[in-house]
Amino acid sequence: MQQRVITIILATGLCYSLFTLAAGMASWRLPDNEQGYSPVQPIDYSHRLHACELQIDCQFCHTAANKSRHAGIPSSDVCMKCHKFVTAAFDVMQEELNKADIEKRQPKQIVSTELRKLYDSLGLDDELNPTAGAEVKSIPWVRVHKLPDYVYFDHRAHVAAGVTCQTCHGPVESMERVRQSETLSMGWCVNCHRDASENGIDGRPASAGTSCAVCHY
Amino acid sequence: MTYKIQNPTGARHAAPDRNATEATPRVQGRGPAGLNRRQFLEAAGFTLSIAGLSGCGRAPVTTALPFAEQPEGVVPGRKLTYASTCAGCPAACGLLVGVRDGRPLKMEGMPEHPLSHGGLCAIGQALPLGLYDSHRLTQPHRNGKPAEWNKVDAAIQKQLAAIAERGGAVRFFTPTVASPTLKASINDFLARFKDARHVTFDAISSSAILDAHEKTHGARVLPHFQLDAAKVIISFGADFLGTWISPVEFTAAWQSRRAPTEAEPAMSRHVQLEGRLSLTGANADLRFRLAPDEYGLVLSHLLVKLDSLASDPRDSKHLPAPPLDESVIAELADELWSARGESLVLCDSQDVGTQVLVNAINHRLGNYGHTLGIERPSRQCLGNDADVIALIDELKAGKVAALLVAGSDLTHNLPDREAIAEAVGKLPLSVSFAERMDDFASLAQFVCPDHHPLESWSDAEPIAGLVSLSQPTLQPLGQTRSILETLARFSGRNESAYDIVRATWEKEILPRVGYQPFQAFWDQAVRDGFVEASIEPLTVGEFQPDAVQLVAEQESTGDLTLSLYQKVGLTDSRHAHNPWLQELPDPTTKVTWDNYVCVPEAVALKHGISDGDVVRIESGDGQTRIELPALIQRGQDDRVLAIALGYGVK
Repeated sequence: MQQRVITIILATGLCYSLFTLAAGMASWRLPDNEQGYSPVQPIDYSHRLHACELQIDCQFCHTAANKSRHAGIPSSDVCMKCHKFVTAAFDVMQEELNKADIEKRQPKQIVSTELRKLYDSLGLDDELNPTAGAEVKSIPWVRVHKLPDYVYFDHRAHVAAGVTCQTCHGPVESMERVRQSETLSMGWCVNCHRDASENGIDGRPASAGTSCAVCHY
Repeated sequence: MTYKIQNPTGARHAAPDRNATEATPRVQGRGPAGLNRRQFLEAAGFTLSIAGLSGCGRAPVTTALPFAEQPEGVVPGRKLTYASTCAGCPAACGLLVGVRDGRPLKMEGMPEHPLSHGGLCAIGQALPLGLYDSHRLTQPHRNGKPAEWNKVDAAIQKQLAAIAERGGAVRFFTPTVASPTLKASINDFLARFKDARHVTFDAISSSAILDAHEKTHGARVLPHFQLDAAKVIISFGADFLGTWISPVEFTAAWQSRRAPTEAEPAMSRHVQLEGRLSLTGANADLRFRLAPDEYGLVLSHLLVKLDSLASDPRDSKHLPAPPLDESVIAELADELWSARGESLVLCDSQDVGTQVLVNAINHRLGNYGHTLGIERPSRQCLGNDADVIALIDELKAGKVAALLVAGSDLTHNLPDREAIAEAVGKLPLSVSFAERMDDFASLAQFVCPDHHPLESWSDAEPIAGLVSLSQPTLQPLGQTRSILETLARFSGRNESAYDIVRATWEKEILPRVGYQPFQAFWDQAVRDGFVEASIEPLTVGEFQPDAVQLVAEQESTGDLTLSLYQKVGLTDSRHAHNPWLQELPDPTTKVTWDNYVCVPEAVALKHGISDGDVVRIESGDGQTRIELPALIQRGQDDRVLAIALGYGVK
């Protein structure tokens, strides 16, 4: 009797394990493969809105992509180029303007909760004036694409060769929250380097090395 | 090293103990299901651990912090280079600080710098490790406990006011201060007190050179040695390529005469006479082994030979026989004499009489004004041993009311630590400006941690007339404060280090460069890192021949002598916390990390010592002793044992 109980317990455990493993197998990853990683960011920033709907070029904000090894996460003052004026969603602001027009009063400044975080980082109040004594601090964006320390990746060479941002970063313009779309594994890099050397990039010839020291030095 | 694992019962395997099994039947016995505990755990572990596999976690979350407001010209990931001055030692070489994303990462020498010519030593290269050291103090301390700046300032101000009123003695203890602004700040701070003195201490000082010049030239100065102007260099123990006074500058100057060109096919001649084998000795054309206590005798013979070559013979009948062959000394004298005005004799002796002989030789050869700049002297090693000894006596006698210590660990660096530490404990006011809780800081009432040099504004004037600037390359990492600001605060002024340095430059340096708008001058100086300023040439007296005394009797007793030297990386203890410098192999012995005693081969054979043996070294009176591993060093004089300074920091 006792033996049967134990057998049932162990069998249930095995079933449970296989079940959870099977679920995991659907998106099986090798260690260090962060494909699909899509962490929650401190500000609910939408690439779909900015890059797709508003058609803002990637390098308008990621200014260093053609100058440095890092593309650069834009500093808060880059956002202020537009968000000095756009303080909330377009329809919310429009509604307030209409309402003020009807009620014959000055429109109120409406600040969305997400943009509030941006203004906080720069120490600005609702009227976008500097708050006395407020600390200016960086927004702690969570890093999505991260290569190991022993890989040296340089954005400059890739941008200059005409590799599109989407080749490595996936369809960012369709993402509400950024997700790592590719594996960023060594095999994936080397495949692209081989292909570029044989077939060129966008019809133009390219020479992408595949020796170890191209990336590991 | 071998570790032994103790087995208390002595048995290789613990034999099954019947009694123990009976005492714990549930561990060993079979359960009702026919599985014992171990078998059950194996089965359960297998079935459930598979579930764990599927949960292979994501990499740890890392944040990427962009600037909130990006400064103009900054590109993420791109290096910016700032001109500055190395503060690793008072030699003050030109420094280029490579800064990426707001963090100084890589130091390089400044090629345009008139002294260092692009060179930078190991200490300069290792500066960032001192900056990012987690053992740095991040806030002021009072009686060993963290405190607030305003409370510390108020308490010190109150005590200083009381000391000023009753006329107590105030002593400021530092290593050589190369910064004219800091020197002015210290003088300004001390001017409030009736009995105040700035005591300059160098672990390996050039005090004897300074004192010798006071005797022979009437001015206590350290000449600027110009090795690039010398055709013949004879050095008695001075390791000028390794650690002596300003090694990077001397290496560049020495090097410029060691690479023959079409235009200048002749190389300089470099002869080294030394006790231990130094980096400089290893690079000399000719090297003689000579114990340091015999330098004076050889220098006396050299002077006698030179005097007779100059047809001005000197009475030398009491001079003992030289430890070297007479013909060697005659040859050296001939070489020096044929390069009159273009030769240089250097000596690292701590004995004033010996240094006076060096001065006499250089004077006889007419080297002053050519290879030794005395009108534009060096300010790189100005420690005064007599002042330090006087301070120790005052401390022990309880005559000091306030002791302020910056840049040097007083109790660690001075001998007789216990007595000094006890005296420090009784001081009415003791203040340390140390970056770390070093030995003195842990005894002091107040610790007002200074910025790291890469965090603060400062300046330096290593050679009279060459003034360089030091600029911050990142925001201070902790709640530390520049010593310039702290001293101003003690005097009741609320000024930033930037304003203090700027004010000094506007008042002192600008008039020496010639009139121009200050802002333009300042901007150019910050960009270049240094300016060359005119100076009032120092007037020195006529050479005093009466000061020169030949060695009258054999000084050497034939016993072993101890040579205390500095390592290329570690120098004095101020960089002992830096792992790069600890790990740096010594250029001659190739040893890293720990201290040892260099033993000449003859002594090793005599006592049966082999490499790595721990030997005890005692002073002649048996008062001082130390135990260290031995390293057999060929090329070392048979009577010399050599131990490096700078180790033993807790």
